[in-house]
Amino acid sequence: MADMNVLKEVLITGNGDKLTELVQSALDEGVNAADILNKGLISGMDIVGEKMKNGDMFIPEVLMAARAMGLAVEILKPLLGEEGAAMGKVIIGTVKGDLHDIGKNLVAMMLESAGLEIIDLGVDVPPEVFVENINKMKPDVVAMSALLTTTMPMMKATVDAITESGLREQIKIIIGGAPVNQSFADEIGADGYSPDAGSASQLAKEYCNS
Amino acid sequence: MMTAEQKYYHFKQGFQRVADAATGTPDRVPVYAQICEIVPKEMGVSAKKLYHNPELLTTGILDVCDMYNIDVPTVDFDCYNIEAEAIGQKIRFHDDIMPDIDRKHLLIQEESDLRKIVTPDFDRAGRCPFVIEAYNIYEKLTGVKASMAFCAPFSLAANIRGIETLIMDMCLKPEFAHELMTRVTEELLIPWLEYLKGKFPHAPALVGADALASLPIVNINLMNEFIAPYVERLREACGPTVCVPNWTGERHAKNPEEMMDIRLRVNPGFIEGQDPDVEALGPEFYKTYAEKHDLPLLLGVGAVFLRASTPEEIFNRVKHYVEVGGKNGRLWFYLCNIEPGTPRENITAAVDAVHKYGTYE
Repeated sequence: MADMNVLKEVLITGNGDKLTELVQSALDEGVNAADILNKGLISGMDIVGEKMKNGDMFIPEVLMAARAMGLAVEILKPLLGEEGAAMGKVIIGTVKGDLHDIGKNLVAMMLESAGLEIIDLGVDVPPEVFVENINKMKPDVVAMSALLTTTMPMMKATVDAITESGLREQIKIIIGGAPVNQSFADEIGADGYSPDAGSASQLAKEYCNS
Repeated sequence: MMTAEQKYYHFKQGFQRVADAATGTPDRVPVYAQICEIVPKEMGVSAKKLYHNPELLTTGILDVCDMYNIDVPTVDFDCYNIEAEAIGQKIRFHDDIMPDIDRKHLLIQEESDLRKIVTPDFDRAGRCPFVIEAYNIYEKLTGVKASMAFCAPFSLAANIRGIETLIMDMCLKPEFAHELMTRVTEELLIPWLEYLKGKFPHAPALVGADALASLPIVNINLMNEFIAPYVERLREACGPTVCVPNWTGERHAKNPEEMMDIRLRVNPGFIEGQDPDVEALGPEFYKTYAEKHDLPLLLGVGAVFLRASTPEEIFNRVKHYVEVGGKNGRLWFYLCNIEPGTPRENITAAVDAVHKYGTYE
């Protein structure tokens, strides 16, 4: 019988081939696809997030785990009905003037692996594009990244634009990036700050569940 | 009588302090600072203009160092972009911030793009002539031989391939990753360093910038297999003045000394520690490691800390670092990449603390 703990362990090692084999054999044994997703894969990525937060996994290992997760989800996708629906929707982007994407991409990967739907707006995203997409996509959370002190003010400009558009109450806003911290998040009126991708994933899930 | 051309010759004193601290005790700890982010604003010119005009850049650096009593000015440009730009990588220039790689248009999209990595004509390619001219002006104005900056193999490969893609290449397509690293090293960096050495045969150091090769962006395995060997190859080809000192993140390692040992392979001349690593591990860790290897120490206080703290907090931290790191001399002090928006009084507090606690009897 499929052992979800083994599945989680293989996911954490980032062995995509082995993981897809295990997922396929679990399906062949009649295990429900949503159970594999939630009790095995998403639960395994929670551990990855925790390990990253604690310094037990670095970005290469996290990237490999996220890749393995992606391969496994591809097998499950056609079999997932309502039970496999995303647990929430997140719009993510690096703010205008900033072309850095590693932090943003890593957070997006962790969020997606946590079972959330991700709309990645990319880098150098102007406030009006955030607003336009909030209007259109109705996300639960908006995540913003900046790696430069010079682009930090653009986070505030984006929060202000969202507020002015009347959409602020519908969403939670989280921020991250090397130069920002909790006090800056408080100062600009964001709801939360995360120092790393693992924490961002936890925070976004909390907000999506609230 | 000092001529107008010798206006900046007083910086020789700072370099003398650096030389004295390399082997023993100077009159006081010398202060370096990375100021490329703040020079445009301090000079009141656009970054785009500054990073195309070698005279403006060089005099700007020297004037800003004068303004803040920084002992050791370096030719501080956007050193992560030059070699990439020389082979055709698009760079974005802005009025208010440093030029940066255009990550929406990376040069190496697929394996066949490796053919784009060929030795360019450095007399004409990108802003290579700008860099050469900046060094010439610097040497003329200061009377000091310039250390040269370049982008080290890993950060260069990451900037033309994309950092996550490169990491995944290393994990999943190691042969391709080695081919990319080899081409970057053999076709681009070795010829460029040789070119620089030809123009400036007495350059005291060729310093590679490689911030991306840090934990937790990479791990120890990747450092050992894909990153350190290519810097060692540069050293083998271009000589021992080549070094890469700015790998960071040892605070994330289970055994920080293991990471320091790898760092020593690519920077055998001194030990460097900067915040937030020094904040986490303490200056004592770095001083002990430096003494163990009988090497001078460069300690850096962090950019975010410098921007977001009070002058008193900064003064106290610098005092602590200087008192611990400067015991028995052999300390250089560094203000890490000063960010725009850093209050002037914070920079002054850091320099004052070095002057006060880093002066030897």
